[in-house]
Amino acid sequence: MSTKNIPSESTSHSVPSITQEDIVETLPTYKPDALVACHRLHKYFPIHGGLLGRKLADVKAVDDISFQIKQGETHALVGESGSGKTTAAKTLIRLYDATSGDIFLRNFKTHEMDNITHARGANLRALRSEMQIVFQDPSGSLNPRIPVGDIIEEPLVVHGVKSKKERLERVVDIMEIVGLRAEYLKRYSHEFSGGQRQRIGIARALILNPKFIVCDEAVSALDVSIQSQIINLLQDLQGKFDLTYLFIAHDLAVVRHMSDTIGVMYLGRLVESAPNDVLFNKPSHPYTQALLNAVPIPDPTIERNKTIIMGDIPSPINPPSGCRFRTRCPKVMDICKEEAPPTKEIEPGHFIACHLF
Amino acid sequence: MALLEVKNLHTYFHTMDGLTKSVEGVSFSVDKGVTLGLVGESGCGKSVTSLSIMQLVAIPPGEIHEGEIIFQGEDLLKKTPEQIRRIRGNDISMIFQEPMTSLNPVFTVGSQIIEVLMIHRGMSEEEAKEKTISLFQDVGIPDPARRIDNFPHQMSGGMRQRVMIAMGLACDPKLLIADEPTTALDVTIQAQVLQLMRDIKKKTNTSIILITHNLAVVAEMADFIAVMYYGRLVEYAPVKELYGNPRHPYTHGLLNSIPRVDKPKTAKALPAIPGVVPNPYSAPSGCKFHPRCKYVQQKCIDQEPPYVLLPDSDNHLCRCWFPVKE
Repeated sequence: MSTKNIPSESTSHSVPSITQEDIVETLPTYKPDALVACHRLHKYFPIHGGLLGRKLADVKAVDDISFQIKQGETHALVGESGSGKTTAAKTLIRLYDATSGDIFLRNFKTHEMDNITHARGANLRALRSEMQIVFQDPSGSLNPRIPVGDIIEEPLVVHGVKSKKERLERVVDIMEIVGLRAEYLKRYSHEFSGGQRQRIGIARALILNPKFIVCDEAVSALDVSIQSQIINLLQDLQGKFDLTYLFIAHDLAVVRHMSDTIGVMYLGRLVESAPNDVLFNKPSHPYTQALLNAVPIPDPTIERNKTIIMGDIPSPINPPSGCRFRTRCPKVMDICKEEAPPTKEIEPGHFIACHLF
Repeated sequence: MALLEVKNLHTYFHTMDGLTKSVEGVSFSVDKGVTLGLVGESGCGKSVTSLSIMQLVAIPPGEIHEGEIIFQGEDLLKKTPEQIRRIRGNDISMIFQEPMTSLNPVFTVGSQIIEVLMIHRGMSEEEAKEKTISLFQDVGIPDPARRIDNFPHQMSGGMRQRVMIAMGLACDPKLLIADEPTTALDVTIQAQVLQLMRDIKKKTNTSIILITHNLAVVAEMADFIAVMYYGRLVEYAPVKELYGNPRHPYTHGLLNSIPRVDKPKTAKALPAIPGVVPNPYSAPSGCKFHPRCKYVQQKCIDQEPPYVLLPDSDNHLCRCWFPVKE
C-alpha cells in the first residue's frame, strides 16, 4: 500500500536509438556541493496503435539532458508547454522510470552521490521521503473526501511512523510552519482558498523532511496577491530547512526572482543553461532570447522592439532534424538542418547548444 | 461621446448560500479606439461586469439590480432580448479565455464563423465562406482555405485563440471584450496573439475591453486601466499614470508585490499583500480592502470611501480615504 498513486515499473521501455557505447562514457564528477544530478537522461513514451497494439513511435519527451543542482539552491526549468519540463522532473524523482541515463542523489550518510536510477522496493520508498513534489493545481491534487489533517498525515503513515500522537504533533507543527491554523485539521479541501490549498500541498510535501522538492508550476494557478505570499513561503522554507528546489514555471518573472540557475528546454532538449544573472542579462540561444523577449513587462514606460517568434512548438513524436528549434529560429543556417548542435560551455557554468557558438 | 458608458452597475446573484453582490456600483466609459484594461483577482467581478454588458448573465440566479449600460447613446438594459441578440456578436463581441470550451467540438471552426456571418450579416453561404477565409488570413492562420475545415481539436491552443479572435471580428464590432484572452497560452504564443490584437486595433479602430489578472499584459496593451476589488472599482487612470503613480493601497501593493523579469534577483522577500479577498457572503465594514491594508485607520473601518476624482487630477479616480503618496 505504500506506493499507491505512483506508477511503478509496470511500463516496459524500448531502448532509444543511442548505443551502449554512448552511455558507457565516463560519468562526470559531481561537485562536492551537488545534491541531485542527472546524466544523459532520456524519457520516451511509446505510442501503441493498430490492430495488434504494436509500437508505432516514441514521444521523445526528454531526450538526453544532463544537469546538477547544488544543495540549498533552486534550479529552474523553463520552456513552452510540451518542452518536457514536467517529465524531466518526474523522471528525476523516480515517478517515471528513465528510458536511459542516470540519476544521482547525495547520500547524507556516506556523502557519496548514489545512483538511484534503478532503486526498487524498500530503497525506492526510502528515497520518496527525500524527494517530494508540489503540484500546480492545488484542488486537483488534494482528495476532496479526506480531511486535510489526514492528507498531510498520510505520508507519515506510509513511512511507518507508528505513534498516532507523534504523527498528530508533526502535522500540527508543519501546518503552523506553512501558515495554516491547526484548528483547520478536520476541514476538507474545498473549504480553503486556492492559496491555503497550496499551503496544504506544501505541508504534505514537507512532512517527511525531504531534502529535495520539485515545485511543478506551484504558484502558476494562484491569484496575483496570493502568488507573492506563496513565493515568500517557499523561500522561507528553503532557508529554514536547507531545501533544494527544482522549480518548473512558465512565468519567467517568477523564475528570475526564485532561482539560482536556470535550464531552458525545447522539445525535450536543454538548449541553454546558466546562472540566473547570466541567463537574464546575456541570453545567448535564439530560443532563450525569443522567450525573454516575449515576456510582457509591467511598466508602460518601457518601449521595446519586440521580435516575436512565429509558429508553435513542433510535435515531439517527429521532431525536426538537426537542431530542433531550426523551424522557428530567426538565425537558422544550413548546418542546423544537418546536425544537432553539441552542448558547449561558453563561459564557466554557461552551457549552450547552438551552432552559432 | 463615449462609445460605451457603464453607470452605477449592480449585478447580484441569488445563490443557495445567500445574496452575492458580484458587481457593486461600477461606472466607467470607453471611447472609440481606446483599450481599457479591467484588472483584478478572481472573484473581483471583472468577468461579471463584462457578462452584464453582453447581457449574458444567467437570470436567475443572476440579476442586474441597478444601473445603465449606454452603448452608442442607447441603454442596453432597456432593450428586448431580440434587439440585444442583434447587437451581441455584431456591434459588441467577446473573446473568452479558453478557446477549447468556447468552440463547439462537433462543428468545423469554419462553419462556426460562417454561421455568425449568415445570421448577422445576411450573407449567402458562399460569401460567408469567402469572408471567413479572409478573416483567417487576417488573424495569421496559415493555409486558411484548408484550415476552415478543421475541427477545434485539430488545432493548437494559439490557433484556436486566433479562430476565436476571427469570430469576434467577423462582423466588424465596434467594441471587443476580451476576457483573459492569453491566460491559457504559452508566453511566445501570448506575444503573437497580443501583437495580433494591437494590429487589429490599429487597422479597425475597434475599442477593446481587456479583462485580465496579468498586470504586465495590460501595461503593454491598454490606454486606461481600471482596477477592481470585491465588486468595486478602486482605481482608474491612464496607463502610465496608474503604473507610475498608483494611489490606491491595493494597486500600490499589487504592483510592488509582483516579481519582475526586468529586475535582478534580490535576497529580499516580495512585499506581499497579507490575507485573502473576503468571503462574498460576509463583506467587511467600511472600505472592503481595510482588513488587508497596511495604512488602515478608524475611518476606513467605519465608512466606505466614495469613488472620486483625486483632487490634483482630471482623469485619475480612486476609492480611498487616504490615497498613497510617494
